[in-house]
Amino acid sequence: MFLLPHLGTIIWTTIIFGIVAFILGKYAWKPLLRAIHERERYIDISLRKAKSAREMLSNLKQEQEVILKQTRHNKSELLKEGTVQRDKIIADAKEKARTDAEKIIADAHKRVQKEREEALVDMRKQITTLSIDIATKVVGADMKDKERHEQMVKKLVEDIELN
Amino acid sequence: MSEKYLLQADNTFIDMNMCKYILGVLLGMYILFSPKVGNAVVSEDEHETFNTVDYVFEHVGDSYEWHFFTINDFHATIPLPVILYSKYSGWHFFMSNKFHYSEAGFPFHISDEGKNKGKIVEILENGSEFVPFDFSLTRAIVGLLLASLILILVTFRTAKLASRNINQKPTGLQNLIEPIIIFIRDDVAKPFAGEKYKRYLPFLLTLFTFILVANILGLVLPLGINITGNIAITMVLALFTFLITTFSGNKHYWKHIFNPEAPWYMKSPVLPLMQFIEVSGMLIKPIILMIRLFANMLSGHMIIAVLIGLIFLMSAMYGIVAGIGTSIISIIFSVFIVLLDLLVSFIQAYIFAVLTAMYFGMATEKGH
Repeated sequence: MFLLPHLGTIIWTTIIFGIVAFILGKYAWKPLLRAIHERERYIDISLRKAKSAREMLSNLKQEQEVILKQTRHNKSELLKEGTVQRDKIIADAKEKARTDAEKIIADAHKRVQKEREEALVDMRKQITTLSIDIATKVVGADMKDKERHEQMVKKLVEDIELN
Repeated sequence: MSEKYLLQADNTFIDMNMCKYILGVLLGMYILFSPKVGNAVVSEDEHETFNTVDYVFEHVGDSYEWHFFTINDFHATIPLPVILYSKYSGWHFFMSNKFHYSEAGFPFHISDEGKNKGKIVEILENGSEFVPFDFSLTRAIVGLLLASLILILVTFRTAKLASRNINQKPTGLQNLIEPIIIFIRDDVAKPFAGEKYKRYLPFLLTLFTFILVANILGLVLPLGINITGNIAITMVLALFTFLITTFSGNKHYWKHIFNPEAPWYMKSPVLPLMQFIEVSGMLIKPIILMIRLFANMLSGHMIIAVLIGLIFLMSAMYGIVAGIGTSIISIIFSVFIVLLDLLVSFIQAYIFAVLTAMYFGMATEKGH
């Protein structure tokens, strides 16, 4: 009884299963399979992107560290250089100031010397003039008071000498 | 690798299946061959009769009407359409309740005995019985339609959801259906159906889900439909597999069947025999598919029907108290069997799909 397939059942089942297989294949499995495939692809791409982003990030970090290191190095280098420069500038300035001062002093000395010489020359000239004047006065004037003249010349010479 | 896979799957459940078969056989033998019982049990007051064999066969077999339960004279039955073609009287279309309330001169009735037992026969004018072509929407077909409807509704809804949220987290029904699709694709089609598995994927998916839904629907006891335990239905499923396998067979496949690679002096004496065996194998493969699913589902249904029938039998034989006592045991066993059958439903759907995929794989395999 159970082992004999019923013809009507076979025909109905063929129709029903055929229609179901066709409908599901076309309107259910196709979009579902496509959606699943699409999602898998999307996940795959996303994962790969995430991985590359992570790699990029770690690369960036490394780069950053390198840059930071370099910057730090540069900074200390600059500082060192700055110190050296500063010392040099100060030393130079000192040196220059010293030479300038020396030069100024030397100039002053020279000028003093020169003025002194000029003064001496001038003095001599005046002495001569004065002496001539005095002599003129002494010679020309009445030599009444010899003692007084002598005293006066003496005093004059003394004055010259003092000068 | 595929062979091993299958053997493993079969071995794991062989113990449970053995238990089920032994239990079923013992119970069946007790009921059928017990000297006290016989075919029909007539209780003391001669009013209530209970025919166990008819009860079991009615529940696991097909029927022209959809019977739920009977309380005294009230039959909870949905009549189903009967479609007949008789070469004497042409096409007939009526509902099955016409068999019960048939007016005089109505030529069709369901035969009670003889070689046409259970079939619709037409009484011809000369008094002889004639079996017309029967395209009735029987209980199994209605069950099949119900299963198809559920399947179509669920998958269509899922497809709609899936095409709406592309590249997004799956929601609702998607979480139920998509794992099944991925399972069939990655664990059935990809490993077994060969390189061109994508071509067979929709069919394998339909096959698996169709069998699964039909199996589970058959387990819903109040419906009382045996869908995949019907040999005609499993036959059609196997036939589809067979046709697709045969039509996708490539040169290598046919060469393997009709002219296997072997030295001529070895194969020439036995070539016809080899061809015969190979062609038989071609036919036996789908027959195995048919029998396996049918027998597995039928046995489960039969055990449940026997267990439930036992309650009425005991009640008829030894009174209502014995019936209640038996019902406790019967229900415990039935629950166990239903749970087991739930497992079997999945396994059988899986095995059917895997074997189908393997046949497709064999048919499209390239020569080495």
